[in-house]
Amino acid sequence: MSLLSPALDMEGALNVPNGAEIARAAVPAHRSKSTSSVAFAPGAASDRNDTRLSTIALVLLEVSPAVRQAVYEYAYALQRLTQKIRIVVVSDGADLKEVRRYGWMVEHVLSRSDLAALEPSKDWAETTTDRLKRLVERLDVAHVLVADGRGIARTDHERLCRDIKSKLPFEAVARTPAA
Amino acid sequence: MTEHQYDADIAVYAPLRGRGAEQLSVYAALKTLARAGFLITLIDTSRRGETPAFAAVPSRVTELLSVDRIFLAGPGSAFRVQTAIVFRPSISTGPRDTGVTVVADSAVAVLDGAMAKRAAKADDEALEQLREELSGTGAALRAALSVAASAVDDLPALARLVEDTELTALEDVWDFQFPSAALAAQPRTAPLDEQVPRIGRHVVGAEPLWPEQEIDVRRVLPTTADWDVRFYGPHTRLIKLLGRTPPNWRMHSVVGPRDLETLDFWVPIVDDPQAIVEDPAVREAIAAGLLVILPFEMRRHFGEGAIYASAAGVRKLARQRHTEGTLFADQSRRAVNYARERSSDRILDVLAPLGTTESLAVRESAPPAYAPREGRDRFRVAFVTSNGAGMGHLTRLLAMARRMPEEIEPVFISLSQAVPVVAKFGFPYVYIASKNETGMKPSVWNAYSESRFREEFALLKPDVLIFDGTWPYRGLLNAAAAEGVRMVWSRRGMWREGVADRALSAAVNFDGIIQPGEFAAELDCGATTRMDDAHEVAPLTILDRSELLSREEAREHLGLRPGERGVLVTLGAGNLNNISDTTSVVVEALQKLGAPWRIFLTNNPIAAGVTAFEGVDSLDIYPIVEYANAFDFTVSATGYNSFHEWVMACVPTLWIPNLETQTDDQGARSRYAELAGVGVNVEDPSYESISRALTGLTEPGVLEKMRSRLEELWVDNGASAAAARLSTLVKEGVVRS
Repeated sequence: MSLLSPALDMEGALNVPNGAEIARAAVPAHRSKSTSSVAFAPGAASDRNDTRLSTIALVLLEVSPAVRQAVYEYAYALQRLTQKIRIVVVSDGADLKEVRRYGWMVEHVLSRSDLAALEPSKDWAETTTDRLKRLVERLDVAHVLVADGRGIARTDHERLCRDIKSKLPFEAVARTPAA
Repeated sequence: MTEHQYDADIAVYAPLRGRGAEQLSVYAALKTLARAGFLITLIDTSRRGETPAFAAVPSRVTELLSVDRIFLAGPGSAFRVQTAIVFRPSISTGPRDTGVTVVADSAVAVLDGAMAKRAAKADDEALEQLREELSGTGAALRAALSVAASAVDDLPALARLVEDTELTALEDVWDFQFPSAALAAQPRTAPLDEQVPRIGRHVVGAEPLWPEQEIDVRRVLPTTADWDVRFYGPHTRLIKLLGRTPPNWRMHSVVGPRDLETLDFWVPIVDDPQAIVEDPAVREAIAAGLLVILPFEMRRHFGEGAIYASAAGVRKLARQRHTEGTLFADQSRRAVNYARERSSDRILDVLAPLGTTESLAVRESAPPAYAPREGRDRFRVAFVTSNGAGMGHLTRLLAMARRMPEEIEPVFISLSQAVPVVAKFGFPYVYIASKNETGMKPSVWNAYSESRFREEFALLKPDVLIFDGTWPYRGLLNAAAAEGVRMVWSRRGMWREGVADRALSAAVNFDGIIQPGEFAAELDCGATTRMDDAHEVAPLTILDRSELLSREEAREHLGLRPGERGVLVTLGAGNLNNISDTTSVVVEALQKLGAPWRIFLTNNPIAAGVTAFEGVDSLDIYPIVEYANAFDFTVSATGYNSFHEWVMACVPTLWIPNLETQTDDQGARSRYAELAGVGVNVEDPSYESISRALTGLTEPGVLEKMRSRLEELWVDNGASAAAARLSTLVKEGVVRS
């Protein structure tokens, strides 16, 4: 069943996919490439024009502020320790100022509630899926890392580390969202 | 009173792809007639295939079609008009070939030299054709002799043509190419500067083709300090030719309505005679009473409207006229008279004897009013801001957005990371990363931003966007054009003196410009003061005075105890200058004041960091002006928002301008505030100068005096007027006249 189409569960209630599910269904985590042709602010990485950097889209849709903070700290540590990645944060949140502290670029996505208010006939899942596909192409993203309600999953971290050829234990970078 | 029902007052037959001189005449006629209130139907007589070099209709002509009194007639349409004016240069097709039927009470044929030449060669076919096509337009046919000064030699032939076609010749030669708007009220009596002649030119339209050799430019535009050279208009290729801008040249990229008043002598620089003849700028300079120096061969075209010299003789002639005041004044008078005799307003004198003196046409349908896109029941306006160093762009647009009428729905698209503040006011928003934030190279970011803007415009389908920023991004302009979004520019003044005016040339992309006013406008000497393309409103603030909390409420919210006096320190975001040092100095100086002063410090929504001081209350409130009445005075930067908010709220202020801004002249605002007696200006934020200022400010009676002076100077918030103007532009489009 497609995650993009709301489906009825056993009880008959609408089972609407959340932001993380939409993102995972929209774009593959790995795009069979290791570096990106588009240079932009590298944040904690060394040099904007370093063509060896691998661009990662860090997707945070419908994620709580506490989880966001934990994910930012995780990504910052990952970037600091590997010096191999360039991060673009894909977010529907209002914490642009917080992201700025890390020096990362933000691709802002219209929130579900704003889209519903502006364009009631448009489906947020479809709109966001299109959006993610375009941004991945536009910024020549190599990897997509999706945060869900608990943050970044261990398996996603390990896959990413394999892709960027870094040995970095999940425990070394993972943060627990504040209660 | 006529018994006819007129569909339009005047039908103008003219080739829209005409050559320069003919087109100037057509353009001047249309503009004058529209301004006089006539309803005009314009019938294009461009002859297909014969004017490949002039295939594009010049933008100034297409712009005229935006005037709601001029409309293009389509094939198969029919009109009853008071008068038909038939511009019939040889390059045009005959009225009958247009497929438009016009019945006129009177008609004027404006014929050019080439037509006359054909007739003079006893070209019976041409004569017959002309007679036939003109007789088709109606009764009481008259003819005017041509417009083009180049046809002066052909006047006898034209006269014969008129006679042969049995038309009645008008007394005047139709040579009304001088825009009446450009006419100087009075000729010049003396050069502007006794010591240094001012010479230069302005450009109408695109950058001309300059001479190929650098020396040919230097001959007429001297590069030595004993000349003051000024240039207005596009000039990229000119500077490229010279390699650099000579120190005595002042270059401006756009032309303001009063720029010609800054010149004594006007030189075309170009050496192509045809280009000079066709250049409307030459006529504007003559009309302004400048001493226009043209090559000798131009005398037959411009008579005593100009003076003449070879390229090598330009400086000598200008120097001589500059020195001899009588010669200068005499020529200026001759130039103005020459233009007045040929002013486009005189077209009305030609039409009056024909009985066409006022508009009698009833337009069946009003110009189409805009309807919301996508079948929506409300117009959607995208409030677009650049990133900026502070909150100015967002706050100005918020001030307008929250005053929009119910039928308009705002959505914010911003390059500012502070954009989430708009959600507090109930507005949805989208953020697009700015060039600085992405760290991309300009060319990469332009493509990126265009892609992002297009994406959002395609999704949200705004009817109109209003952009607040100094520099309209290429990506934004391209995206708006591609997605069919009309554009309005919120362009504040107070640019620093010397800041290049190139951004102003982007004005042509906008359907309207709104200029948020300036309390300190008297000290504004920036580039926007040369322009008159904007609708200016009073200074904007996000809140009206009536929306501020009362002193009691505000003090209670902030926890101010009885007997305590509040002072707020708000020095901007600190994204351009290092405000942490200044803040520390200010706080230290304030703390020395001791009781009863209690210090508050704002934490700006866009600031990269947070500063905290012991014994100082940090405030994270937007907009902080809501609490203005709690403070006895403030220590503030002089960005647009802060400045006008404290002035509006009548809070005396120690002003510390941020002198590192790219465009905004914060120093001028600060100086003006002190001159006006509503604050103290401290441009050097040292401990000594701040302490001194604070001591003066807190002396008995000083704050009260400033407050009462603020009350005297207080003006209503311009936000409602700006919102009303925007609303009109959204619903009715641009009304040009």
